[in-house]
Amino acid sequence: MVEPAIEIQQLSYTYSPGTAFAAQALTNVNLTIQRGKVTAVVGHTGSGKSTLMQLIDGLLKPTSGSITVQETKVTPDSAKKDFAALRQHVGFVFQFPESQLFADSVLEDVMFGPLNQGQSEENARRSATDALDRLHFPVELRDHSPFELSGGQMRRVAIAGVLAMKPAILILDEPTAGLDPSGRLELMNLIQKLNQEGTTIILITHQMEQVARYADVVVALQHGQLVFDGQPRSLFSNQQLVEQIGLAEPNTVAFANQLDQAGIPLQQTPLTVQELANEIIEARQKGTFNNE
Amino acid sequence: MAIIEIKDLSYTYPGEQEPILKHLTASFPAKEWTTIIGRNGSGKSTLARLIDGLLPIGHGQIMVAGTPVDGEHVDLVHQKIGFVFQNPENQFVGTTVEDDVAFGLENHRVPRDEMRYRIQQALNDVSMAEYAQTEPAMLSGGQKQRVAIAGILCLRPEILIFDEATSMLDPQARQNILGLLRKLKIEKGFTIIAISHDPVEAAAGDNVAILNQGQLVAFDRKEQILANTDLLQKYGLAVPFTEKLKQQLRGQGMQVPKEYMTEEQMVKWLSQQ
Amino acid sequence: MNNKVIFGLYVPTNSFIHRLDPRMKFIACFWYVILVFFANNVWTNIWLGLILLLLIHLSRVSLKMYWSGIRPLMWVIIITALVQLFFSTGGHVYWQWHFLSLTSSGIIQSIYLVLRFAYIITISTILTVTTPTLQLADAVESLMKPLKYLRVPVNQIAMMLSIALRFIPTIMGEVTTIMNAQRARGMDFSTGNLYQRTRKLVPVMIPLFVSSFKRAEELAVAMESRGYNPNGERTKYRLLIWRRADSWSIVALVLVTVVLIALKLL
Repeated sequence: MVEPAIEIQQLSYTYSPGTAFAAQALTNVNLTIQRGKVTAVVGHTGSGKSTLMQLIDGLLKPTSGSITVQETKVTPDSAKKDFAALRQHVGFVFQFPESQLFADSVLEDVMFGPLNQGQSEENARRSATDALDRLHFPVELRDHSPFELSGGQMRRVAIAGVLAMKPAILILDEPTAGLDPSGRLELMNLIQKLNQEGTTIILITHQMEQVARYADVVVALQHGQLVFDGQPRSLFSNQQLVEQIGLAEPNTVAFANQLDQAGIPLQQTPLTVQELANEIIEARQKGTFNNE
Repeated sequence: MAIIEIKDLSYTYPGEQEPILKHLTASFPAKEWTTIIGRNGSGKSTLARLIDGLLPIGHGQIMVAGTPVDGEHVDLVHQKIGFVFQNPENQFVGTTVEDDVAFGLENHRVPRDEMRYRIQQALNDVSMAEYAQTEPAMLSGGQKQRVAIAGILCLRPEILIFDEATSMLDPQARQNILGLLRKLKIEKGFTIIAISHDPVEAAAGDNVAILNQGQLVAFDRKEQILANTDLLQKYGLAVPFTEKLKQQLRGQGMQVPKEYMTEEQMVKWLSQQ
Repeated sequence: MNNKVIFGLYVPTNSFIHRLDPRMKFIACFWYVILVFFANNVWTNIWLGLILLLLIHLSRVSLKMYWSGIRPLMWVIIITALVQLFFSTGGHVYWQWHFLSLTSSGIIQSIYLVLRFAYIITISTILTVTTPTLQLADAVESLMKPLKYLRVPVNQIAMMLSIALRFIPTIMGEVTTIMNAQRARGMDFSTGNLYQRTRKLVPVMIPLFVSSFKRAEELAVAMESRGYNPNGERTKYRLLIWRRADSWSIVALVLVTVVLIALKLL
């Protein structure tokens, strides 16, 4: 049973309509984001990913079509409070979110969202502490100014700031950009943990290895249109489509394709290094190697 | 032959207690591509800036192509070194592409007639000639980095320093820039120093240096360092894809060679098994 | 791609006026504004209006663009005109109530005032729609050159101006992003009284300052690495070329002035 977290119907969006600078950013997108899953959104810069995410978070008003999140449905005619209601369900972590920090202390910054939601001071503090705990943010740094922290720590404070609003759906735009490899791994593990605790995750990324490794579903956009919606394995096994959308292959897939060309076909498209190794061992045992 | 010599270099940022670089000694071979890797905060960027005379040297000595890096020779050092920074937006000075490329030439008082030719040539080298009149707001990150490279190429430096210059780009743009660097290195014989986290980028060069807590802990041919997974993991660095695969295969009882292999070499090796 | 900010009002129709030297246009615009203050009768005002219509025609930019230049200032013009209308004295009195009065000279003065506003805004608009901002900056720099002898750091000011122009779109894009990010954190910028709304700018202004300082620092280092020395001599890539048409335009400007003085003395 697929339970929808977000239902998107016939959604289109045009920037500055009716002017010389009008630009159609999204055309007729129909999409269901499944509850409790990690959905990766991929596509070139300018493919409409960011526009779609801003629409889902109620930051833009659709030109036509509708978006339904739980009981809230927004259309071009919806009132302002409906868009605000959308934002109650959806949390949006922007790219380089540390650049939006502003408060005197880490805790105050994380409390900003809950206070805007109308929570009491005490509840907001509790929500903030809870969010920081979930991201394993050190207790002794919570009174410090966010500007004294390292890049990776600031990133976590910014994510906690969104998480503290208790969204059922969390959108993350390139959450690991600019972090070093160990920082990236740490953050992706935390995101995976949030998902296991029940948060629906939408992950915008250029890193196809992240898609292969963490996503349950992948959605691809090109020129503002939905061109793929399905499992990562079925996307990456379609080499032609991947190329046509202009995506990079995850390195395991690229390697498998090179093997295939060298005369070593693998059974299925490997998404992790472990799968790739298993496939190679299997191919070897089956004697596909040295088949002269 | 070494083109950059660093002796006993230490540096502490003003207002900080702990030095970011501690008694670092190293030499970088001419006409080779050396990648400096290390965790965030290990002192990589500081080292790069000190080499280009962009920070005052605290303690120790740096020589760049026979010139000491100090207040007196800093202009000469800037001429010998072309520096590309991480953020494409914050190093774009000009209001259009050609103006940006011209910026360095104007600083070095190149006559206008010669400028036109040099700008054209540099933009051709980075395949951006058709964007000469374009404003930066209309360019992608990768295109801006190309313009930044053109801006230093037209100054005819000997050494190019890339300080995480591809880290804000998407994977295709990154591959593009790396391809461009490889081409430039071969065609024009530059010495390249690249600072990166990315093992793919390290694999594109000749040597790899590892910096950890302000000290140089390894400096060798890339084949030696990239195949040494214990060393990489010890300093919290990413292990190249082929090494991860070798580890897995080894775990499944397969005999794999110890030397570093590129993906191509590995495919070839597997097909001969 | 939604962060592209169109800056300035430049309309590239490549007309005769577009091709003139920006220094000439700058001087002419300035001179016209002075002339506007000398126009104090019907004929001089008609004369300046005709010149303006000719320039608008030559610029090949639609009247709509010029109207959009005046519109935002409409209220300022109307209120000033009303003050002029009811507070001036002299001439025939049509109506009076305490200190308010409607007089014939008040009516004439306020008509001239409206015209003055309209002329000045329109001539400035002609300058900005026909000249890219970059050329304007070059013109300002070039015209400031004599100030060097007064020890004014003209080169540095010019560099500041050009960098400001370069980063305006970047910073505008950044404001949009930060505002969106704070809206995503439940911020509502569109409600509250003036005080509350001003307070709501704090979560936008602080991140903006932090990032602008970081940008400025990175930019300064990047400029230094490319050999920039604020006190050093530099050559210049961008050249302004004074053509024959520019000299003729100056001649035309002198003629316009002579006619104006003649009409004034009439």
